[in-house]
Amino acid sequence: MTARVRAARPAPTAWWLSVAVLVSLGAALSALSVVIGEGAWFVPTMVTAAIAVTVAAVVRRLVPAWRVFWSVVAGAVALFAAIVVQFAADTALLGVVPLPETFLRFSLLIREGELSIVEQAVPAFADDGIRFLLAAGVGALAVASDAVVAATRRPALLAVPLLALLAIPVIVAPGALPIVSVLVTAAAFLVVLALHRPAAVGGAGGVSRLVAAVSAALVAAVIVPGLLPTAVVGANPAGTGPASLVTGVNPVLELGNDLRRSSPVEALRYSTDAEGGVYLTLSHLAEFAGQQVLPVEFDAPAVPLAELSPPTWLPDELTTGTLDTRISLRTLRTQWLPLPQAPATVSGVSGEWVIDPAGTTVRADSGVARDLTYTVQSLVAQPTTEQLRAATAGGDGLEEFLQIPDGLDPSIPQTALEATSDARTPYEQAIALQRLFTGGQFAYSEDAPVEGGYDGSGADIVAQFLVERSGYCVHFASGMALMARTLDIPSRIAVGFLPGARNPQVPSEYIVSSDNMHAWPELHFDGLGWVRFEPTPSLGVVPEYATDDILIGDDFVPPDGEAPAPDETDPADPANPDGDTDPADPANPDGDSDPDGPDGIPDLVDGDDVAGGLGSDGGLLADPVLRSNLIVAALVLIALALLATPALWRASRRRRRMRATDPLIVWREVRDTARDLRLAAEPTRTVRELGAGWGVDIALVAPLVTALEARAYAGPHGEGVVAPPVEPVLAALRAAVPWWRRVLAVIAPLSLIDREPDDARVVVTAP
Amino acid sequence: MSTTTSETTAPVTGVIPMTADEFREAGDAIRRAMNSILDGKPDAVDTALTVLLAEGHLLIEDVPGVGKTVLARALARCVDGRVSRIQFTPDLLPADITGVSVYRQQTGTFEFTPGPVFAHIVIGDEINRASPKTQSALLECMEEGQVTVDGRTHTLAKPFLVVATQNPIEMEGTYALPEAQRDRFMACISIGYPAVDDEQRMLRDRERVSPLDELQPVVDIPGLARMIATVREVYVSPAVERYAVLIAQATRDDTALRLGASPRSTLQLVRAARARAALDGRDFVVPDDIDALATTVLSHRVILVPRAQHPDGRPVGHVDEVIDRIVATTPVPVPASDD
Repeated sequence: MTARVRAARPAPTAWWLSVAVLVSLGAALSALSVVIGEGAWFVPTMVTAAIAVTVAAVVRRLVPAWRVFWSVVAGAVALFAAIVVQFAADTALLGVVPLPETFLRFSLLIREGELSIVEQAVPAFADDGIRFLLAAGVGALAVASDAVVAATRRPALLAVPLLALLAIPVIVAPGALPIVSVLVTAAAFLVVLALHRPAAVGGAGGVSRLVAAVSAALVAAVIVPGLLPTAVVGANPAGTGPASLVTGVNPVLELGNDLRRSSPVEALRYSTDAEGGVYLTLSHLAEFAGQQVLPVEFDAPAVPLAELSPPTWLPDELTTGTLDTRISLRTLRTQWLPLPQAPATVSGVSGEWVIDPAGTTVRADSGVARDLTYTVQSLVAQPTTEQLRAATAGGDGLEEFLQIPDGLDPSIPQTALEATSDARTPYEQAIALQRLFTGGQFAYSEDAPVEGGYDGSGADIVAQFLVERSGYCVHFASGMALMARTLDIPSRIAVGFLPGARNPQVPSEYIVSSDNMHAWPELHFDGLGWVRFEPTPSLGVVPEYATDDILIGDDFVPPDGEAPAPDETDPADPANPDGDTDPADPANPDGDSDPDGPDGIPDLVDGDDVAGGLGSDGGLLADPVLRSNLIVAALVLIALALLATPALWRASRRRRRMRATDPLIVWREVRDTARDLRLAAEPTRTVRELGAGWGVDIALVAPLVTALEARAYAGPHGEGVVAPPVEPVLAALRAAVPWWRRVLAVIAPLSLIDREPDDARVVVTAP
Repeated sequence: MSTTTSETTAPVTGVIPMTADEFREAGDAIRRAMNSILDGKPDAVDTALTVLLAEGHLLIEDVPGVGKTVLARALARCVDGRVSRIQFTPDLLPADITGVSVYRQQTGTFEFTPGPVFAHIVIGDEINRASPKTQSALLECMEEGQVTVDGRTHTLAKPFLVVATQNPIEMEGTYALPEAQRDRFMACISIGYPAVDDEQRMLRDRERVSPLDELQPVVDIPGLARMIATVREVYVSPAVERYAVLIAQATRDDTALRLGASPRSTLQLVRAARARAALDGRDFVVPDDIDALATTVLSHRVILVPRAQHPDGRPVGHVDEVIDRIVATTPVPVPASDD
């Protein structure tokens, strides 16, 4: 026998464990960079968490007893103090001690944060509210994780907060999860597991457990977001209720995702006299940046919303009448109020609003518009084809709408020139551009831009779109608007909703779903104002003045003639127009010569062929509110079932064991019951030690201990030993602990997850 | 030197094991007798008795005057057998222990004169005072159960128990037993100072007469052989065997120990556990027997790492604490059931 001198191995210390926990949380938090763009949020959040964890770790080392409890308390206090200093120092005594005003500030910050999350599009700006929520949430996660890792034998539980953090970008911005963050998180998690490994455990078992834990975590990270119904999580990043449609400052950003929803939600309803419904505009975009088009910037005071100034761009002589539209917001939450073209008055809305100088779009001053019902009276104006043909492009003060971004890909003006070579007037140029897109060379696809990596709306995107020739409304609108600018026609992109589907139950009411979100270009003609075009194939309603038959030189086709757009053959489109009917056309009020039907909007009643439209499945589920309630109820039921599962599982196991007479089996039940009650039941203790250590009458346990020892260790003599009645022992065990531990034993039976070490389970047979 | 002869547990031929009741009675009688001599030291008495019945040898290590020799002599007096006592001194020779062949002029032959080792119980007082050569002569007897002098082998008596005492302080001019030699002893105990009341009672009891002289043997040699046979019959389940092995393995892997327990010590641990189970009135060993004896059987065989070499640089504590910790962290096997 030789003496083995072992190399000195530094023992894992709690300090390193805490550092590793912080690093893993920090790595997971960094994944949020795809969701939260600007603003200093990462460093302050991590510093806050680090302060809390450091204090907790120091206290854990210093106090003699109740270490976990005091360390969590100290960590929470430190976290609170750090947050007070950062966010509410001016309201607190000496900058730290909270006063009532401090809590008031906190509640305001929470509200602000919630609103920010609802309002802002991804990537969001990290304002005070978001930073507050991040600091408090991540700090609390850090203190809890540190306590769990330091105090329990299950460091793998750290995976829960890590996955929770990683799930946010997965849900809010699918496909954008930074892989580096995930890898660093996983590595730090492994380090935690490795550092945590107690000296007594180890070997192959430890490694395989570790591998299993990490695999499970990764599988969960991949699968879980996919399992969640998108209607519930995708639409609801703020977690503020059932499925909803949310649009932010720049509604075009999320437009693609809204169109791609697997189950559309009802955004709003409106009733109008206009045949075929109306387009509703949220906002206008004009500035072409690299990847996105940005909204028209304006600075105006917030005012109560009543009378809008008459649209400055609309010449009075064009106005032919007024139109009343009653709009009722359903699940839509938006900063911009959906309005028909050329609104004049808005009634039924309180609060302060910001109206753009042209008087066409209205933005909430703070918060979002939701659950509103209001009536808009709008002006009806329709230029005639003759007016358009005679009009020149441009107008005063429209430089903003003629700006072409620096470094524009030369293929864009090139394509525009080629497409409009035959056109003689700006109007004909516009029609030619529209025909370029609707003429069959371009395909409508909501997924191709995502797959091709050009999902956006900016100038860079347009160049690639012209090559790929496949996209959805945003791409067509951007393409036409940008190309029009290269031809010196002022242009902007409107974002809003298509007219939607007619409600079969209520005449003149239209239902607009998330699928009906739309973007279209508007071009400005001198003396005529902004004129809408519809370059998106198989979608939307092409205004009659914009049907491309106009292009056929002098052979002008009158407005009432049959002039089907090339796209109208698509039967699957709920909003597919016949192409000859302007929804708000006052020039054609007395009927429609269209032989295909009185309107271009399919009714829901006979709309069997409607695909993707809201409520196409009919019946009860047609009501989105009811449907979301049903989903919530189902989720609650699932949650309850999940909560009850351990108890039921445990009860069935108990019943099975209690039927047995083998002391080995009965003993397992006794020991597991003790484990559930959080009594000592370590596998390193002998049966006698356990029986004596539970604080129950030893005379009660002794017969069972004797029987078990005989059965387990007396070999052949012990076979056939029958266990004494065990119910009194179980009852005594339950009586030996406080009530809350009995409750814990039922809802969270530890024995279900505690596995004995492999050594203790080995089936030992006589040699 | 073979190590197998004395390790086997072949049945004692022609000896009928006792019934459980007989055994407990005999065991209690010995305990009572010894406890009457050593006040307040039941643990030491139990261990000594366990070692006797498990056919091991006992090392008593303690400061002078606490009753090492008294314990050894009390154990010897309880058994009605041949008892010899060797006071180890630096000039003691191996032949002084084993015996010598003497030339008889009358017969013209060499005649073997047995040494003190030819007894049922041999008390080796202050074993560390003899030279290593003499020590190893005794240890070889313990190991093999026989003595070879001048090419002739003489079998020792059965049962055969060596109780050696050793003084851990006052090391001048002594030859401490090397680890390999200590491994031969089944158990190493220290007696410790008596409690106040016990020491006071001792003063009164020994005022007039030595109680040791009044002690009457309570078991004869055939009776002791039967008890030993009974111990050999005690059942050790595979689960308990595994438990003993797990503990021994853990001592070999522990960072606080430079030298772990030998396989021989595992064997002796289980053997001692048998004796303890029998004394407890059981015919099978439970893990608690292993727990109770682990420190006694293992502590004197393992070596702590020097404090300076310990990974943490922290004091590693007493070796008993290390063994206790290992026992407390080793899972106790329970046979799998069809649950």
